[in-house]
Amino acid sequence: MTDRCPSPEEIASLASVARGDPRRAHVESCPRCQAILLSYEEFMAPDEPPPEAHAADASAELESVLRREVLGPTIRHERKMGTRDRLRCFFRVPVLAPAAAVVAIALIVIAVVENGRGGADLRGPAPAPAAPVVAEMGTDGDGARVLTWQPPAGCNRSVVVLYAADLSEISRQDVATARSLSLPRAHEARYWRVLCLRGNEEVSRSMLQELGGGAGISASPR
Amino acid sequence: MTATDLQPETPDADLLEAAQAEPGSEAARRAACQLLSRHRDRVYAWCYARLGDPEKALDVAQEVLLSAYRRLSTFERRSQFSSWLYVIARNRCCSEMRRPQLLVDEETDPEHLKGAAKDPASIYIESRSEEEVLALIRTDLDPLEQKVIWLRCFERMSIARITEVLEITEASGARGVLQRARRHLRAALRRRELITETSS
Repeated sequence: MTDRCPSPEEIASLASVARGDPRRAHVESCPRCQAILLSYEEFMAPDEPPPEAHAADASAELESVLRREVLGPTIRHERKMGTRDRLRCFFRVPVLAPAAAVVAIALIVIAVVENGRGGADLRGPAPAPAAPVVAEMGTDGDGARVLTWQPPAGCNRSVVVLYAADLSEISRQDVATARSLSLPRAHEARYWRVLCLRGNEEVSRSMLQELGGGAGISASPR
Repeated sequence: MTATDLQPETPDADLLEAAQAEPGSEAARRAACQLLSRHRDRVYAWCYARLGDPEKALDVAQEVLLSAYRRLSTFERRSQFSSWLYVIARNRCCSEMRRPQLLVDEETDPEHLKGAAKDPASIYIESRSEEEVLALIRTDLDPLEQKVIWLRCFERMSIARITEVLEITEASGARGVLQRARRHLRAALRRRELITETSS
């Protein structure tokens, strides 16, 4: 290694340069830089792939994390995937999604009929923990839907989660310490719930509830 | 470029451009997700090769990908995205692993007792700055020994992999070269009277 040694990023960029090219002269003569280049080449084309079962699980988990963290939420999820998340990944298989939606909706309909209490106590894809948040929906003078809730003691943040008709998650909105949220009348969401958090830790959640507006329950997946 | 323009074959550079165009927009997040998703398996495989533990490799790979996402706006595109991502993975993996000691490596020296007291040479090496150690390596080891030491101690590559990538044909592979390099390092330290031990 000398003072002229390029950074690892610069060395890695030389991987696509042909051997013998003057730009590689230093790397080919410097053990340190050569080692980094070999390491990068292994990064691009691993010769020691992990066992297939591990690789498949890891690939699915990483994809799920990326979708959740990059595409979806405004809050961070530090925990690793649990059984619930694995099931969600499973149901993301395109062929199974419509079937999953039909089964989910059928269970909801049964719950509604059995309890005779409309959509007020529908349970979503995840079981609610003890001491659920009491949440209600109303409308304001303009017809916008107003979601309100009462967080349990100790919670300092709330996140409103909106779901489509097939119960897939549409969005999460971190509303900080607010206790209500207005939704435009034409919002595509069909169900909602609120998560109450202490810092990043979920403390409690409301039951999944249907958003009004006359749409009713539909089994059509998005 | 809009979200609907993103095809599976869209080059990294185009995805990157879309991801950096309007940070936080839906199109940018979709592009970033596709870009990172494309590299997720190689990040995991590389971390696994370094760490040897599937759960730990998954944790580190997740941190690498999310760290890359958070720092995406700082990437200046002076190199390829994969080079940049590799450096993040390398730094993260290296900080996760204890560096194999230059003079004693439990994996290559089976007779070495785990947790045994350090010898004077090891203590001396550990008290030196990285620059001093590198100078010692450069002046007292032959090129093959330097490469093996570097790959093992700084790039955390496995012995089997080092043997393979350096095409070492001697029977003991990289293990033998590594042991020889360590003997040479100890001898160099003694020659310079940097340590007082009489045997290694």
